[in-house]
Amino acid sequence: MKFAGLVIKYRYAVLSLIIAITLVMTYFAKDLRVNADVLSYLPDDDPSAVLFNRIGDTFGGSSTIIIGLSGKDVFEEDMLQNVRQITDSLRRVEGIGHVTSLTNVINIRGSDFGIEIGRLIDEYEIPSDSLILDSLKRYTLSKDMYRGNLVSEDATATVIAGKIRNGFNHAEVVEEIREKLSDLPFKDMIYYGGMPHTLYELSNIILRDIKSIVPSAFILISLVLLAGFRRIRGVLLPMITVLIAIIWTMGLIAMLGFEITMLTNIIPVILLAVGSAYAIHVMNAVITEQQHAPKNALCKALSYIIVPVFLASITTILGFLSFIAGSYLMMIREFGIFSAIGILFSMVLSVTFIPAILALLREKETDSIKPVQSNFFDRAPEVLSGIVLHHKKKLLAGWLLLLIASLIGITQIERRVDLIDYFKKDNMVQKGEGLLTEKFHGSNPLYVSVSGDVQSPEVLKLLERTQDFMADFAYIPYSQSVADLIKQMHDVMGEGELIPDDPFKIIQLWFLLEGQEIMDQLVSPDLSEGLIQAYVSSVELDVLREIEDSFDTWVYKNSTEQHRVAFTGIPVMLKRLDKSIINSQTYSLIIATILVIIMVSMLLGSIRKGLIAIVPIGITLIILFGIMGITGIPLDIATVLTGSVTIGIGIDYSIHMISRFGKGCREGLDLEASLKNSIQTSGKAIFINMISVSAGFAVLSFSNLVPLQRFGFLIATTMLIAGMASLTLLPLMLLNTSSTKKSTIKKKHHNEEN
Amino acid sequence: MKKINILLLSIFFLMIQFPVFGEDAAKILSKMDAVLFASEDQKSTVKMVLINRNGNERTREAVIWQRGSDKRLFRFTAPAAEAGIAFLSLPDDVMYLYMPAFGRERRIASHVKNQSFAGTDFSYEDLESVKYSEKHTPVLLEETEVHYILELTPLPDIRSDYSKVIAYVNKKHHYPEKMKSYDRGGQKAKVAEYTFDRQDGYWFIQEIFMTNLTRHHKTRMTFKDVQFDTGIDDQVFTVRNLTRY
Repeated sequence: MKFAGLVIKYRYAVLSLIIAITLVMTYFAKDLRVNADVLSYLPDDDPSAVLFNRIGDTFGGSSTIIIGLSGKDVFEEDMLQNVRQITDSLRRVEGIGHVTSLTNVINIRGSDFGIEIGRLIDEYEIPSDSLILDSLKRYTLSKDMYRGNLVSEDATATVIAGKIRNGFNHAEVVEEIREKLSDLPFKDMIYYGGMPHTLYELSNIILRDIKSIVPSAFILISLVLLAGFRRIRGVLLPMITVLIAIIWTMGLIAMLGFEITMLTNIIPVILLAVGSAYAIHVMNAVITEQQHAPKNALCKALSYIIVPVFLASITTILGFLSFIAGSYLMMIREFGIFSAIGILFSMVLSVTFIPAILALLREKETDSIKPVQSNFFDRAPEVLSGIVLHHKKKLLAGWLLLLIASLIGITQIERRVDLIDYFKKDNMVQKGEGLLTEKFHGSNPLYVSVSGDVQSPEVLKLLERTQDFMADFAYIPYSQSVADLIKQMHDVMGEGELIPDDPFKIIQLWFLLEGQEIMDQLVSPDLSEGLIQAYVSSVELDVLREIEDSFDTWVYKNSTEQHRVAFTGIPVMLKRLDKSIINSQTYSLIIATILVIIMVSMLLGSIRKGLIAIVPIGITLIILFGIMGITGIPLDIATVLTGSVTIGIGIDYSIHMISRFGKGCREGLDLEASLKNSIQTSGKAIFINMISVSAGFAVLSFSNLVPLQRFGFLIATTMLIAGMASLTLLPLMLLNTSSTKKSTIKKKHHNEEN
Repeated sequence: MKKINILLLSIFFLMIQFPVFGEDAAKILSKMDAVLFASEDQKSTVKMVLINRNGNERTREAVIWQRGSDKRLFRFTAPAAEAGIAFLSLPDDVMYLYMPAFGRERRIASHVKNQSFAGTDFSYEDLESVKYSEKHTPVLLEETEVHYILELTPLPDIRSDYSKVIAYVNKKHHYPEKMKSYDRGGQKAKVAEYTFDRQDGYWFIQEIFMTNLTRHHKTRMTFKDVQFDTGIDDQVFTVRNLTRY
């Protein structure tokens, strides 16, 4: 009562303050930057990330952008000119370290004219004679170093690979390259690949989609709200509240110097789903009160609804904060903290902004309450309460069936980490990566580093042995190290393609290789570390698992004090990233569940209620994952997040239902009446929230990104299941667990009468 | 009428060729060549300091024998593991390499002239001792107080890795003080700065500091113990001598 009175009394101050904060936050939010580099999300001390970065520093870059060029025949003068032109363009991009292409790649050969350590093709004297081109083609395709690596086996495609130097923003580098190449007359023959490009395209599409889809989602949600409340303010106030909460949260992220990550960009979605629920409950309470007793309705409604809204938000906040405890990744911690803060903002705004505005509006209108005819949103909860009260067994059987089906579905759930799946089939990323996987060795670099004197036979032989070991994997078709070059040099000296035992021979062969661009990519400047470069053609989880396990064993067996072997690369980091996200999500879900049970038990004064409150959430989660299993939606970095939305929304629904039920009981209603009442009041708000948010998210099915489509579908499904569980299953449980109490009371009553 | 036109045209072309009158570009270049190739033969030791992107340095040493402008032997003396490696350049782009650990010589294909020599920022072409005037068309771009600034463009039949070289020739002594080389794409690729010293009546290069702009790498080549006209025998410049180490 007190708080509600204060808000209404100081409505001008409250509104001015909210407007002022919103303006400040808008100022910050507009500078918000997106960091789509998934790999940078690994903590700074993650061993594979540390090695990946160090390799980038030492060897002139570790992240690779790959340009594919496809045509009739690579070995035509025009095509080679095009390769040269792309190579040239890439070289002039500041963030690009090394470029490797047909027109600048090293070539070691012994011939009648003597030994030759030069370029495969002289970029300034590209042959035009078809005989020379033919023999060049035969020679190039005869060497492992080029075939499948730089030129496809059928000679219809070639690649130009650029290493991005450390310290440069990947997205900016990619953008510059895309801009430069889009001016070329043969731009239609160009394909793009590599993680930096995939991520660039990913964040671009996400941004574009958000711009086009979010407004339609807002409109759809508003329409449903309008149908539910039949009052414009019933639409505008919750939507504006959510909008302000989103602006505040995003502004705060920017203000504190954080960037938007693949996880934090889901916060607006969560606020839209969960945050709007608070506003809807407040609106619903006010409207319900107004219909009963218009006088002082605002104050009465507020003083009642403020407690469940507060409780719901506190438990949800705790749920999100639990992400901090279970997480290895910085971005998950950020996600947990900022989601929690966003929820707090939504809650505070729901109980300040909405009443303040309503109080302001009340001054101007006197006849604000017009009784309206009941519609779908009034009747649906009624029907539901009828089902709960009269078809208990059928209802229970229905849920049980769903649960069993879902448990079976869960066993079918797929796990994926391949970002390429995210794109639709006709997207340029799919096309580019398709070309690279089909005709080349893939686009995901894998690195093995061996420390020690690289000019020593021991290190060179260890490099060679490791490459032999790698060659056994079907999806690592080719690898390259300085050992290959030394072997080729040894061969042209006429002593066979092997690593000589005589260190002097090595040093003298090395002498001739010095100054070659490729050396900087394979050997550290102080000659204390050699690098094996390879590409992995598949990022299927099984493949990644096998790589990690076998390489771990190899490293363990072959590392000595003098020669440390270590491996890293995009596949390894993807695997670690995926593992840590899934782990921390599972972990947080468990922590959140326990926390919520404890919190709700304390708040509602009963452990039983706490346990009851968590049941709809648990069931929703099981059904959600079951649906993923059945529909073949894989559990990946994006979809696993629907779990947290489930928790957030599930807690709210449960608390509202339980507290309304408790209120009814306290006011002297019998169990069934109290239940009916809760379904028709709080239940109506839940129903409106559930329908509006699922409708809004269903719009995401029109997204250009597969994960956004899936995410939209899953959130919509989650909302529906969580809502239905709270509206049918929860009441059923409340009824059953309370009925024992009821019977004991009745018995007591009966005894007293006797 | 026609004759006048042709006359005007040729005057016009002459003016393009020689935008600044005074000393003519070809003369300056041949004077520069005369300074660079003054002695009959020359023997010296050279120290090469290789400086990478991060500023790390490595040093190599070699002895050089040179006779006329087309015979030269380069034999490395340090570091120990590389001692004995030798390059022999003979007329008509014939080049041999000797590696003592293998005990045999190999010919080096002539079309790798644009490759780095021994990890330095000098390509085989940079180290070629061919007179500049034999390979280039010079144009005098500018005359400052101390320099003639020449633009050297390779002659049509010359295979060069550079589209042009801008040479800063000392006006008084006619030796180059700086040369900027542009790659065939027209980008500035290398800058060489020269320090000259005088001994026995000859100007000789005491140091070249070469910056490779594409590789972000530098080389400092310092010449010592220079001896002129000692009558180096022709036998020095043979494959037999090359392998005798």
